[in-house]
Amino acid sequence: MTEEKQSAPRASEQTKPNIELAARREQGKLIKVLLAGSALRLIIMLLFPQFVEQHLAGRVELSTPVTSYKRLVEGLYLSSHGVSPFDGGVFHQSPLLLLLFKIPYYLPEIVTNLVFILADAAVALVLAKITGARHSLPQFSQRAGVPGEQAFACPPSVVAMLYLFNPLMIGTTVVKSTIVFSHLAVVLALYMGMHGKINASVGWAAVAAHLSLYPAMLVVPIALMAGKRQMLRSAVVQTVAKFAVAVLALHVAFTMAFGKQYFLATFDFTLRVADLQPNVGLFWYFFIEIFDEFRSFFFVVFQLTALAFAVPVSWRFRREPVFGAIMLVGVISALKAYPSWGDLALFLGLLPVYEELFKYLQYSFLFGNLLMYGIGLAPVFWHLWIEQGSGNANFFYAATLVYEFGQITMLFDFGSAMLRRELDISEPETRTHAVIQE
Amino acid sequence: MALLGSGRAGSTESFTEDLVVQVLPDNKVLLHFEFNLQRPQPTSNDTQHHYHMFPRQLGEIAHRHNVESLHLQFTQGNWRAEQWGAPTVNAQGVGAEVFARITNDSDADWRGLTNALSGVFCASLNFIDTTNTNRPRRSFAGARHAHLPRENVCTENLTPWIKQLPCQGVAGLGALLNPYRLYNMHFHAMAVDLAPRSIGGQPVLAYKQTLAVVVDPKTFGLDGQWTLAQLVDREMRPACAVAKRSTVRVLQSDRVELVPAPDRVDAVNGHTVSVYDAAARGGELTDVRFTMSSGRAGRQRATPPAIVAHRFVTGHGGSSGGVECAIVNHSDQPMRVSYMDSLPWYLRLYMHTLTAQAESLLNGETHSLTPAYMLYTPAVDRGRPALVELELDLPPQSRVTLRYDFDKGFLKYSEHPPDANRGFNIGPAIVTYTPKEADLACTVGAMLGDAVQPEECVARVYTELFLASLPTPDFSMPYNVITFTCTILALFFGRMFNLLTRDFVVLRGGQKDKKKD
Repeated sequence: MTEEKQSAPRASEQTKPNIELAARREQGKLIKVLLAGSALRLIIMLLFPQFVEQHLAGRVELSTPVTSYKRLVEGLYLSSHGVSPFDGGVFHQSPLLLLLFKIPYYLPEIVTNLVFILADAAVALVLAKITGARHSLPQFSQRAGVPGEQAFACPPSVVAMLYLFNPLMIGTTVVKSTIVFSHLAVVLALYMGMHGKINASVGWAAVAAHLSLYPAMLVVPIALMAGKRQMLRSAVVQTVAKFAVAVLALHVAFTMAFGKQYFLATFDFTLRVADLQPNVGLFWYFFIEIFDEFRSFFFVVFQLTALAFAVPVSWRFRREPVFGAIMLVGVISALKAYPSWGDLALFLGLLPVYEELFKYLQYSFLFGNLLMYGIGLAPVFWHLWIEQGSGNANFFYAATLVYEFGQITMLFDFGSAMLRRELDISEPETRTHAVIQE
Repeated sequence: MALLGSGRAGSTESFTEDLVVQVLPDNKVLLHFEFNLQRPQPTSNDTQHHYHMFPRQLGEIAHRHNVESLHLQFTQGNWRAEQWGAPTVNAQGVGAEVFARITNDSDADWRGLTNALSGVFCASLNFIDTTNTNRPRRSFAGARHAHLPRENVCTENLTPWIKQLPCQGVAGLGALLNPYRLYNMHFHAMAVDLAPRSIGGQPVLAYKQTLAVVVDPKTFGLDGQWTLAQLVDREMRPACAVAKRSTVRVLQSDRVELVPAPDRVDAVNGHTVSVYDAAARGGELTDVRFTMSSGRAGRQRATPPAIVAHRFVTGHGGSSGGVECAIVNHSDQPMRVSYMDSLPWYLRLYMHTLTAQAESLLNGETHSLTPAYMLYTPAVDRGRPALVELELDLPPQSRVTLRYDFDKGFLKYSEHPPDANRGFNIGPAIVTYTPKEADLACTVGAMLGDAVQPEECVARVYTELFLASLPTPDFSMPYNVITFTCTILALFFGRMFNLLTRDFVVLRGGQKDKKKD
């Protein structure tokens, strides 16, 4: 195979002691990044609690009905007073979070803050590890490259930094949106899958699915990762079966603990989009305005549009299941029922893992601007609509449309970049030629 | 035997009519009409219900829906406790309030009852459903309770109410009910009460119709001196012939001179009451002339009731807010009160934000207060309202402030009322307590022969209503939103489909220059 010959020199350019020295320096940088990111969050939480409370905590772009910290506290308060938190219209988060915060709830606020900061730092650490695994694990690093391409320009510490210092993610952690825990489960599932620890991977995917439903789609790329090591068909069947068992086990355990109500208040709630509080997604205004008789039809259409792409997207990128999984994270961020900026932050955090695709992007100026417009305009239009009353709902809706359009463009552009690069790898001599899609 | 029994039952129905007049400290006048009807409880094998004076429609509704006791009240205007003192009726905020105890506590009976009452009183009581029905444990002792804050009271409600009187509007005190005067008022409360009572060991069903209005004589050009007939602009008619008792009673104050002299003067719970009894005047009602002793200068300060409560809505912006309720204990003794607040589901209550703070009225010292009892039923979206019940021990001479936050829900376009930007009326919070000394409502009850024992006397303080303006969508947008959103969705689907099904291929040969990469 010509591809393998081309990739071999990339790793052997440096001598062994140099590599070790570089690795140690890289590790030091990573630790500094993690500490700096955590410290920044802690400083904001401790020094500007008033600012966070007044200007960030209530932001619908950062916390949604299924991730809001205020609602989590209400759930903890109710369950500590012997009222089922799921028997009401406020709490819609996984019972896992109730268990996680059962003890911190009685401790000083700083403990809870640290749990969130640690979870976020852990996400960054795992992102760095995923990048590291792509660089070092043979099945990834020995993959062919495009001739003349500089290998791995984006080291793990930079990937961690891009995630931790993303303002969207800082905001998400500072308002203690519980999407952070879903992120952690997602990246752990990917990391374990890359290392071939399929059981652990499936377990984390089940936890992620339990925390925010949509990551259930990730079981497909994980099954394909398992398929790298054995017969594809049996690997897929086994992985999906394991996932089903894990999800069912969690479901049975929580049904026994909280009754059937927990299911109605969490999964059913998400699927039916029962709370129409605005967010950066497509669902809320549509379901405020849709005629009652078509409501259930469109629930199905909208949810299926997101969920139906799990298999085709994973299959399309079957040679790079990790990339397939990242694409699915992007699909989730664009099309879930209660998206927030935090979802986009995870997608943006995962993309530098495939930094070699950046130069294949065709619309980066367009989607970069669309996203910045969407992100910048949303709070302004929210203020005009809700606080001042000089705008109306259409203003905020317009900002979410721009934001969604930006996300979809970015998603599509990255997918095309991947396919275009694969063409260059398989036919390196024609990479300066014109290509078309057919 | 049964026939004989029921025959006798008809004849033992009894009816009394009374009017209590009080000149309030600011020279407005409270007219409190009360009509009491009692009939023996039908025995279980008594299938034929004979009604003599008792309104048949109410009797049948109560029987059909297993109603044990019922209270229905329509109110307009606020009772100003600081100016007027304690009220004689539940001084609830504007709207209609129903509470009823139903024997088997069935949902169907409650719905049936409210729908039937809706028909009888020409009111929108049929809007009472699970989203605004509460089942408080302490404040209404097991009854179901609902409040419709948007319900207005008008003559269409009064007409069926008058029709239930044995002499209707033709004779007796019923003839004084002149809508032109009753609705030109500062406060108006019209109520019916159905309750089982025991009179001399005999179980009876008591039906009480109450109408309390506060009118200002000056509005009608009456100043300093006026008669009852002038005040209501109707002539005095003979007392209702079937009434066992027909009286006009004036709660005496030293600022008012009454002509003619009363038939007798009673003393009830420290109040001096001048009684004009039709029985003593050959069945004629007396047109009492009131003369204010010192006119305008005669204004007095009222003694406020022991407990006064006010509720405010706090916060700004359209997406969240808070409730603040101040309960003031004016008495020198600690008071145990029940606080009940019910908010509709679209105000998402955060109970963990509840704080209670007591502030002394004497020296301004504050400390936090722990409720002695707390019941919280969270709201269910489009299902039931949130219900907060607290028992608080109010220190003497103190103001206790309760605070809690809510987020405003976002409703479907079809769930907004036609005038969406006006907002939603939110019903009052209710503070229930047992007064240390019988209050005016109890005194009036005792005076008019209510069988309620003084220790059973319960006073309810209703706070103001508030208006919650929820964020509104653009109601003209459905088609646009469907189009725009579906466009984005189609864009997503199309691009993904494109990505999944089409491969990149290299253009070779003559076509090479067609497209630059």
